[in-house]
Amino acid sequence: MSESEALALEVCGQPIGLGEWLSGAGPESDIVMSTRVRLARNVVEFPFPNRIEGDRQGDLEQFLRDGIAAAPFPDQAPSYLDLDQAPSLDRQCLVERHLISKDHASARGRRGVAIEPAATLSIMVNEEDHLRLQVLRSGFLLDEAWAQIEAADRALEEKLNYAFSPELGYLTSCPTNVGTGLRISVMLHLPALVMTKRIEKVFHAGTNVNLAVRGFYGEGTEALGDFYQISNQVTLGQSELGILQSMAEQVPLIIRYERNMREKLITENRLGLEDRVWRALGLLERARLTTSQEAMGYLSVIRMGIHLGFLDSIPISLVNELFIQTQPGHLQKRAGEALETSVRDELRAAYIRERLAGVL
Amino acid sequence: MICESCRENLATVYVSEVLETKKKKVMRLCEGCARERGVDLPDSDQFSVKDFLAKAGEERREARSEPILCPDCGIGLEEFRRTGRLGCARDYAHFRAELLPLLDRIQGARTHTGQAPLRASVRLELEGLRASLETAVASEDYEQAAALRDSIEQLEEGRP
Ligand SMILES: [Zn+2]
Ligand SMILES: [Zn+2]
Repeated sequence: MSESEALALEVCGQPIGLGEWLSGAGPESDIVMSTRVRLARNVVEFPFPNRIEGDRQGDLEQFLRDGIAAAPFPDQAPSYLDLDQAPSLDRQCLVERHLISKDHASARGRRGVAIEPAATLSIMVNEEDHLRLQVLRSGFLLDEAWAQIEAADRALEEKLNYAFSPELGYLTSCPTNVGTGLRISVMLHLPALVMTKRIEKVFHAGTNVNLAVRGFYGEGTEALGDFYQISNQVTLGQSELGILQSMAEQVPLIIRYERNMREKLITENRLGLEDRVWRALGLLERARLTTSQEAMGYLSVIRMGIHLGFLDSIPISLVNELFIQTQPGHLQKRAGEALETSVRDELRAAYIRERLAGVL
Repeated sequence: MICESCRENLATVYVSEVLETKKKKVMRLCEGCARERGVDLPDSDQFSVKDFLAKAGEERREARSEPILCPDCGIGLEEFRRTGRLGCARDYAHFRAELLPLLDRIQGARTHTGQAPLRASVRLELEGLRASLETAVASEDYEQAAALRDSIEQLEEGRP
């Protein structure tokens, strides 16, 4: 299988770009996996999606589609995918690529997503709000991500009348998004803070400034791949720039903390750390059955190993891709059919072995 | 770490809560409990503020009155409490009394301080000017009315 074949994803006959965020080329990408910026928007002509039924839902979808098609986007225009028609496996793959939400994938009725060719910008149509714009970028790239989404928002606004009140800002279906409608989330990879048991401190740092910190856990209390997501809690009473500012202040503190702990670990027990990295690689190179949780865990350790300079033949983009390609939707999409968990574990192990053999 | 709210599930989300005293308190919550408090977690299933609303309704036990329904989307207070979702943009005005305490709780603020869409700004300015024009005409202030008409025309033609 060639590399481009392995990465191709086609939904309703349209190729979907892999997503720049997986390149691992953005600033601070040794620690920051991705920066995501989202805007919730509604138009004045229709009630919110939860109050629309039957034909009106189709009318609304068409109205928004027309608006997106006519909007003068500064970069390449996004193309529209009809999710009502898309097979469930395709929708699952879009979730795994962070282009649509789980709810949008599993909902029913007329809805869709417009995705720009490089897959950095996506616009969900008829989700909880009429429009949910999203920009997803590699590394810690707040200003660029904001500039990109702001430009897309302005382009859409030339064709659409947004629901807005001077007092409460952009009006959204749920009051938790009213105001700016802006949600920023930064995905951090913090293995050294986990190993040194300092992750609790990170949680507390964020909550002092209205940021929510979320960890990802698998079975039991085992952290899943040492990834943590930090996002703004409030959308009202703080300006867009204020929200960006508090992110821009807090995230670098966590980055510095993680770097210090990585250095500390190397100074105190370099051999132990190297052993951990090489064991993870050894397991993935040889294993015949790999669960999703195991893959996340070992890939996380390898990701850190690459950034510490222990493993220099594995490109970081490959590790980032493996995080996505080994998820259930992508495994089944490649196989072309729904698969039992045990079969997925077998295919996952084989796929990782094959991709690693290509670079080792 | 166990969730401080349900004391059952694993706490995976750390959030700060604004207390009645305006002080903040850090809470360790499971995803479900975080959502019930109106914390919007990207990528997670839909969160809801309905429990908060249900509680607020019980506390208030307001006098039984006619159910107020939004004339535009038909949603009533009961349904908003049950689902935690508004039905249309105008509900923010219709259910203002119910919404403001909720905004205090989940947003810690009641006023937008961010950007405004250009078209909406023009629309709102036009509405304001038309209202002033009506007042001017009603009070027979024709000089003022003429000036307002000019402003409205300019705005409609997209001139500054
Ligand atoms: Zn709980
Ligand atoms: Zn309404």
